[in-house]
Amino acid sequence: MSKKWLATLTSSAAVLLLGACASGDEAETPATNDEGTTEESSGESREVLVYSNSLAGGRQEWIDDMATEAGFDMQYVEGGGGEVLNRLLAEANSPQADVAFGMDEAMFFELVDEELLVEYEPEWVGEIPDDALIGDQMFHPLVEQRIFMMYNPEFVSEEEAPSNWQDLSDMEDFEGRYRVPAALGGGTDQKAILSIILQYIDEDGEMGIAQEGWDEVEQYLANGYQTPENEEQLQNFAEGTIPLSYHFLGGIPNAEEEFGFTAEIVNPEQGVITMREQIGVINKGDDHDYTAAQEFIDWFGSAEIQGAFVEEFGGLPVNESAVESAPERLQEIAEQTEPMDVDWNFVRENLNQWVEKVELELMP
Amino acid sequence: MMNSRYLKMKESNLLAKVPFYLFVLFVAWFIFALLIWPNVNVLIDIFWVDGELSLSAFDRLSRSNRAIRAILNSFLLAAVLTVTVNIVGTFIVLVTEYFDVKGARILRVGFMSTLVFSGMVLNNGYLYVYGQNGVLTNIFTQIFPNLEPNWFTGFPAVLFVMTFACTTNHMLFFRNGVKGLDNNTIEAAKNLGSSQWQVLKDVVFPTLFPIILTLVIMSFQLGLGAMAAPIMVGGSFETISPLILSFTQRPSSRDLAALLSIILGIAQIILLIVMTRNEKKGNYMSISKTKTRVTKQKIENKVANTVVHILSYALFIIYVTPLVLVIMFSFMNLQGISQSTLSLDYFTLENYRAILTNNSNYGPLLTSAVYAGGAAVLAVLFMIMIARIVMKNKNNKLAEWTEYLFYIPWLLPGLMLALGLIISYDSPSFLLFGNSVIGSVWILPLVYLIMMLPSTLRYIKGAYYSFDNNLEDASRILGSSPIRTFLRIILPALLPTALALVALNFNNFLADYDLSAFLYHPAYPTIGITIRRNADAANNVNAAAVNLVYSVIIMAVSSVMFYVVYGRGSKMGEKKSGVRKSRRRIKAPVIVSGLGDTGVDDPATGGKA
Amino acid sequence: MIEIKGLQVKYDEFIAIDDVNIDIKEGEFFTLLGPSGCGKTTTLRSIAGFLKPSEGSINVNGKNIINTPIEKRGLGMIFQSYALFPTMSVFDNIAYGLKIEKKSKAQIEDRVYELADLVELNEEQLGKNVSDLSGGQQQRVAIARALAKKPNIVLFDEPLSNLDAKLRKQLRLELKRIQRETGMTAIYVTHDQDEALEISDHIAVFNNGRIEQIGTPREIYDHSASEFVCKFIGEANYLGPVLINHINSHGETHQFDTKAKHYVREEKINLSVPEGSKAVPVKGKILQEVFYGTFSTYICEALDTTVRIIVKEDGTTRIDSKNDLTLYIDPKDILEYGGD
Repeated sequence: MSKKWLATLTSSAAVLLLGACASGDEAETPATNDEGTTEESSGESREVLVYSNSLAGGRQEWIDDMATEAGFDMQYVEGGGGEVLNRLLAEANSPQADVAFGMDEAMFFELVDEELLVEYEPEWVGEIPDDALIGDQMFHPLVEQRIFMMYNPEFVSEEEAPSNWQDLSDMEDFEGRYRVPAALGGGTDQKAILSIILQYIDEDGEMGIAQEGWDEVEQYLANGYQTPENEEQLQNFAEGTIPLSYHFLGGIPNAEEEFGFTAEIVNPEQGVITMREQIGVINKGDDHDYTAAQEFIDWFGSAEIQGAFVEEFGGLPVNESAVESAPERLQEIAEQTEPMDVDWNFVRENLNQWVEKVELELMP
Repeated sequence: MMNSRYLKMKESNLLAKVPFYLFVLFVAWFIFALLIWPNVNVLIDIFWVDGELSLSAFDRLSRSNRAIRAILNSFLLAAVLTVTVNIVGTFIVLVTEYFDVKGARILRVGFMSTLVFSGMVLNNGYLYVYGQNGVLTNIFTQIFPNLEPNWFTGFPAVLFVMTFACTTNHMLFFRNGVKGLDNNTIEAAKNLGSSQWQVLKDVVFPTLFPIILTLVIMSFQLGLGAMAAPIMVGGSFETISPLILSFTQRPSSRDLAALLSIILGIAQIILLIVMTRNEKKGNYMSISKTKTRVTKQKIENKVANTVVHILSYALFIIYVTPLVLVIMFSFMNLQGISQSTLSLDYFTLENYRAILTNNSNYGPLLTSAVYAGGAAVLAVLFMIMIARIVMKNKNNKLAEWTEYLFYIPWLLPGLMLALGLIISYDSPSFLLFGNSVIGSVWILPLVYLIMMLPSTLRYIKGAYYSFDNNLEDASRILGSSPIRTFLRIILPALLPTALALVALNFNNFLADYDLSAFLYHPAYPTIGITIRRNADAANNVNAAAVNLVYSVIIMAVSSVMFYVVYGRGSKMGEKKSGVRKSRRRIKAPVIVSGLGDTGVDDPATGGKA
Repeated sequence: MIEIKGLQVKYDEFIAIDDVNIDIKEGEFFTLLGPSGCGKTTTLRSIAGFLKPSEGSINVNGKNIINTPIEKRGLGMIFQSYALFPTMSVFDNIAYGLKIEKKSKAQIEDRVYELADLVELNEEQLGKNVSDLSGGQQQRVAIARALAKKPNIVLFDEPLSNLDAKLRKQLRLELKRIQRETGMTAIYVTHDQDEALEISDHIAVFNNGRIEQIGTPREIYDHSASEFVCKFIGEANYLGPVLINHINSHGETHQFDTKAKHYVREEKINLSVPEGSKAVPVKGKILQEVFYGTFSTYICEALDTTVRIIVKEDGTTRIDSKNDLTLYIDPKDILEYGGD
């Protein structure tokens, strides 16, 4: 009499299937009726589907509350920067997103290349410093990130401290005691490598980089410490086992508080890599109505919202009127460091093959 | 006249076979539209650059010592692991199901823990024991002060962890096999004067050969595809899968990922073909009448008995300690976790409170459960039908090829398959009956389903080998249609394996992140996405703790799933199939399929976490 | 009732059976006999519909059933391995076919109890699980299950070969009884010639995928149509050419072809003959003797031929000298195969 069991099994399968289909119909509605949205965009419901890598740690909930209050009907797709970019690129032939934000300029240039963005000048563009406007109206900066070397002054004196990335590999005292990337999937890890090779740009070199630069990277990686998956690099940093590391600006206040250290930041002569999280409207065809997307950008990038956002989650707004709201520690580090002059178009063209070369040939 | 009569007959025959032909049509469509076409497209997309074939991946790969070392490491691991896993796996099954070992029930629970305790969490658990600040390391350093605290690393560490982590399949499928053995054959062999060892060697193992073959293939694959262990405890011992994942995620490196993945896939399929050829030579059809249940064998040699008992409990400790530590550490705060120190000072319920009271966790968990569960059930049902066709037409080339085509998902990483689907169907396509995959809710479970197919097919086929074909004939001749026969006779016989596979597939994809991130529908984020959002190291310094808590919760959900579907499920199936009008104790039927009943005798299997 | 004409079954290139022609009458017990691999089971499975013949027809009551789906043929079948459904109780096994016919619960129950009576299963056994029954009981369940729908034709695929000798004998008689009581037509596959002789109305002897001979047990035994049949059914002594020449020299009616092969059944060689017999005397000696109680067998050598003979131990036959005795062979008992 296993009949009943089979019935249960098959019917549950059917229910699951039906469930999936039913929810499918339901769910596809908001995604497919762009036309519908646009007509009533000036009205109550302004639907915006956001793709972003900057929604973790309570950000999404915060944005959702604020945006709903402001009259937006939000949906989100989140992931790491690379994942969101991949998804946007894969969906290029039938884009789903209305707005993308959070990825850096190199990634946005890639979206421009694939004609995935449409031009829009937000209301707050006047509050952005001119040198930060590199997107040709296709995208605009929201938050600034700097990636820098740091040392723990409890274990490393100012005299001992390196003055530039490539010095690390020459310092015998710290052999195996400075952190190097274990993988290059993440943006911050990639920037550590960029910090070195961008000092050796050479048109004749392999992939636009002089051999010397590649050698420096190889040595840097060979003598450093790759944090295993089960260790916490900040813990190592705080305890002094690995007192030299690198970090991104926005994460510093929390890290210092949680692990109980105060980092000293190294500002090399060329400056520190500074990238900006951008925002742009996704291209969904000529006859698509972009009003809701544009209104969202106007709203989200405004000094008021950006100021409130960084107060809640940290970060250094690019919007000059919002900088004041940033945590003091961030403003302090921002003053201690100089942004490095980076040709992001050049980086975007070569980044992937650089990373691949490092992964394949230079990593120990 | 003759002719018209002949035609008529043919027609009626055809009509009777309509469901079959419809199914064949469906299979052909599925293979082409969902297995071949997307993968061909993604390979073209990857290797066809600017109008010509680009094979620079070979060149780039051959220049990379790191990649070549990783490939060699993967094969080394696969080869050695196949031996060690099968030894340990066979041992733990024999001591819990075949030999009379005291406390077999509790041992079984411990050995079954890997059903839900796997991947990164499991490795974390092992590090709590053997890692830098691990329990065992602390003991060792007191005895041998010169011991390097980081001793647990490299190939031996990976091999050690995986040897115990990868016995899950044994505890499911080999166990079913042993339980389904015919006691008469064992007794017969004993009567003929075989020693206990000879009985194992000459009767037990040969009878279970198809299952053992499958397990060899699967453990080889687990070794080749090793991911968590090399990352967590491998140190400088790198394997290929982590590289494939990072290459897959970068569009310009996808050719490398595809190439590496195809190398692994081909190795896997060559092994499979060689094994399948061997399998065909043998005859494992159950020729005996309905079997009698295996009675546990007492080990006669006293010394051997003691040694087996000691080994069993030593293994039990190896299996259980990491799990216990993971659960305990999930109640520690960040300090405790990052220092690997268990202490009441660090005890906190905050992490659990935060996650369990956050309502935004439950929707995604339900979504993931529906996706993974639906895909698991459908994949198993589908593969049961495919395996049936393959087994019924063993000498038919077309059937043979059909089988191999379903192993295609072994060739490319899941993410690439997803990409292939998107490239092929990013606008409404007639191949999908006017649908497009982008923005659809069902693409994610569909990819789950596709990824589940190869191993599911492999296991179901193994189960079919021990299914008595006469049962099917008997049902047909008693007047039951092929479909009814399938539902009433074949499916129940395969039920233990089928349920095990449903549970296994479900657990494998419940907490998926990589595929989710690429494919999830904005309205239905999966639990993998939610976990990442709440446990992202860049945004949450407490990430390690949150991750651990999520892991324990996922283990709990998986355990419930196992308990309900596999434990209770097959048990209920047994009861229902059992006795009418009999006042005697209900004895579970021993299924002639050779997989036996999987009734988990003690419901504790599920209730570990 | 069943008419098989020119049946051929191929596995790829291998021809399993060829040119099989059989006529089976209603109510008959018909046996397909032969060594393993001879095609008897293939023939049975073709009738059942598990195999699709490449040529020929199978007519049941004048209708060709080659293309009829298995489940529509209305046959009963009993398997060597019984093929009881392990996930069902004894009752459910027997009721399986009835449930497919959508009979009412009461009807099903009545019929199951009726069948249980027929095959002598008790109520307690009906409630049991099939694996709790002994081999003989399992076979009874299999028979009851096959008969549940009152099929006119029942196929038996070596149904007794898994049982011990005593049980086999007992069930053999019961099978015959059940067959007579139900009036069904039975088609029975076996490799056991004793079984075939005892139980059958007609026997078809298979060899190498072809039928060697069809006949009643007596016809097949006494007038084996081929050397194969002669050797396969019962015991037969091969007679060497010297001995045949000797017989020919005494022969008054028939001269045997010395290029052919000759056999004589062991019970047809006698040590003494009644007056007026045409049996030819042959001098021989005893090599070995085995006593079985009611009879003895002797291995004898005579004229370069070794034969086994059976002698009833009823006191009528006396052996005076082991080295000097006379065997009598009647030329009409000699079976001749081959030659010109």
